[in-house]
Amino acid sequence: MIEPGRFIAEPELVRLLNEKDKHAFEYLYDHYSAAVYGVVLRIVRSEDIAEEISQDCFLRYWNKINDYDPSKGKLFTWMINIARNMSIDKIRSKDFKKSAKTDEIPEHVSIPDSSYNDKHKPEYIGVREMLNVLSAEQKELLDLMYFRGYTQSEISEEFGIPLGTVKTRVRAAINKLRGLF
Amino acid sequence: MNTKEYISSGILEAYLLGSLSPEESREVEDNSEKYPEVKKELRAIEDAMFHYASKFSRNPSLTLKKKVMNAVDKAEKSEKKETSAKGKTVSGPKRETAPYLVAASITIALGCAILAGMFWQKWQHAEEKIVTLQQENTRISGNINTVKFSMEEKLKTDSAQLAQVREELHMVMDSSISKVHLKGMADMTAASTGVVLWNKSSQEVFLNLKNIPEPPDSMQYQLWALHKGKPVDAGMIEMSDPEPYHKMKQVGKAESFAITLEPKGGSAKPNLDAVCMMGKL
Repeated sequence: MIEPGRFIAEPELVRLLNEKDKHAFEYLYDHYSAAVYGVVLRIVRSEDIAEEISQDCFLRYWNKINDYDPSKGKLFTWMINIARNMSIDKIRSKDFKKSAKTDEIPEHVSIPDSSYNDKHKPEYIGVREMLNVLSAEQKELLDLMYFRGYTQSEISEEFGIPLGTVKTRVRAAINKLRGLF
Repeated sequence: MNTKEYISSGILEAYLLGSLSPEESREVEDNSEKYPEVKKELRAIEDAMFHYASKFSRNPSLTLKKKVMNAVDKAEKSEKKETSAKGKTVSGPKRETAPYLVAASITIALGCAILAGMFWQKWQHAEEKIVTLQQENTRISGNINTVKFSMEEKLKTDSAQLAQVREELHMVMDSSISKVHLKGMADMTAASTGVVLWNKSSQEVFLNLKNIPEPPDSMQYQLWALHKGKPVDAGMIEMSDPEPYHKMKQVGKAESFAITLEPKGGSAKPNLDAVCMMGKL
């Protein structure tokens, strides 16, 4: 039984999850559900669909924890990539486009989107200061790649920017983020 | 392989953003194993992306947790059924016995089986009840934790916000503080605004800028205080400064303030062709 408030380091957490330890899984949910849900929500823009996909994600984390290879990166990266892929698949699916359950998605999304961010976010100042550091161009680039699933070549084609330039701009954007943390 | 070139090509970022093909991804993983500098860089970018993604965190409804745990319970149970079905034993060889003995032993066996069945069922129910109660208990304490955690976070942010608002209010209300609005000029749009808060008695200067574009990589914004037409350097503007009010150099006398775009590090004299913002007292 994991007492509430106890910290579990990642290697131990992964080991317990591989042993199908329910308490470890609950710990995983408690600590990562907000991050997963937040990313999914930002992509699918509907709370109902986001909850549905988040549930699928966590079930996947439970069933497929064996797929996670620690030598390739952090657990969080693996989890979030699953969440992003499921969400992007969803928004590209036929029934999603038909049902139009979502809010109006502007052509080029600019952060912040106040209807989602300001009301519930626990770190209001954190986002503001982070986004003040990135230029409008950088924000859009990260948004396109991270939340809309565009590859660098797709961005290069759609916006008529040389691929090399896209790559260096992304790198500059992420370097800025590194400076912050 | 030139690792510096490889790293600055942006391929590591693309890998972590999941936008490489499987072959390209494998290449990155191989290089990460081969070259420790690449691995180190990959980890650093991964951390930055983790923080970036976390900033968009939103708490889902508490019912989601129930749904997830239920789904996982179901998945677990169906797995258990599968494994127990595989564990049935094979019966031993039969023997010749007298008919009445057979009948008697069959009756006894049946009786025992029925009793065993009853007890087994009761035991199962009790087990299930215990598990349910345990789960409920964990769930409740987990929920309490989540609520507690998010309330603590909210309290932290609210307190930080309050402290900041108090400070801003103090600065604005202090009568020895002059407020100078800077208007955008030339390429700056009307969306760009600036405010200089200048405490004449302490000579402290604070600058708040909203919606100003990033300067080119080799350039930096510089603040000037103008007194009797003569510009005095009031400091460089650090775009990465998270504080909404940048603390600038001290200024003794000024009638107006201006911001110019200078080479990184600043200039001794302002480039009058690159004036971006201006405001008078």
